[in-house]
Amino acid sequence: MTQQDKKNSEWPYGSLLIMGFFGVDSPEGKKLSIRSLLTVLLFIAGFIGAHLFESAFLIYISVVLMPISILLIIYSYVVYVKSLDTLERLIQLTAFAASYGVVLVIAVSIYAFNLVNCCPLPVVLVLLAEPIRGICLYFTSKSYA
Amino acid sequence: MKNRIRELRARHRLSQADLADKLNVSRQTVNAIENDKYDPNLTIAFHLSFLFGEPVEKIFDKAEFLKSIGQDSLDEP
Repeated sequence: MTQQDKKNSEWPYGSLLIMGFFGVDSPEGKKLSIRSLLTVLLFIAGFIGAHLFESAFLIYISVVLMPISILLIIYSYVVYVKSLDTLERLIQLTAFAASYGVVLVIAVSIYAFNLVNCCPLPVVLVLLAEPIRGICLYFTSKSYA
Repeated sequence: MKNRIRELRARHRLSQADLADKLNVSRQTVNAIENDKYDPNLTIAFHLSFLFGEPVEKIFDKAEFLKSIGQDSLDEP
């Protein structure tokens, strides 16, 4: 293997761990990064609006913005995953499967702990799915390097 | 599956990046296929066959495949 080829064999681990996708080198990666940023901005706007506004209508609009932002990222990822080659898609879907499992485990745990009124868990724990997806992306891609 | 892609690529003076561009996959995917860490799909296999001018069974190790499905030759069901 030449030095250049050795360099090529490396997956973009930083992007996979931090951003959760293969970086912004491809046009699809660029689009996903822009849509991710838009999602975060929409979510933050909704969160701030829900706490800031006094009008019930504006609070309602702000609250609705949060799930809408998640819908945007779902759409963005569906488009992105379709654009990947078969191995990249396999890596992404493996990581999605792991994070889906984590969300289910956390959701069931929240329900179970709340059921017995013992140390209730915060719903925000489901956000752990994202770092777990990043870690899973890292290790799965490493196994194909 | 073991294969001769690295050898054929060198013969055609292609880098992994060149081959990845021709196959429309990532460089890392070409590397994973060469290193026997990932078996490509039919589209990539036939594309490789077309690019290198060799039949698929001469690019990929048919004996290893037959062993993996518990067969000695394709003649026996």
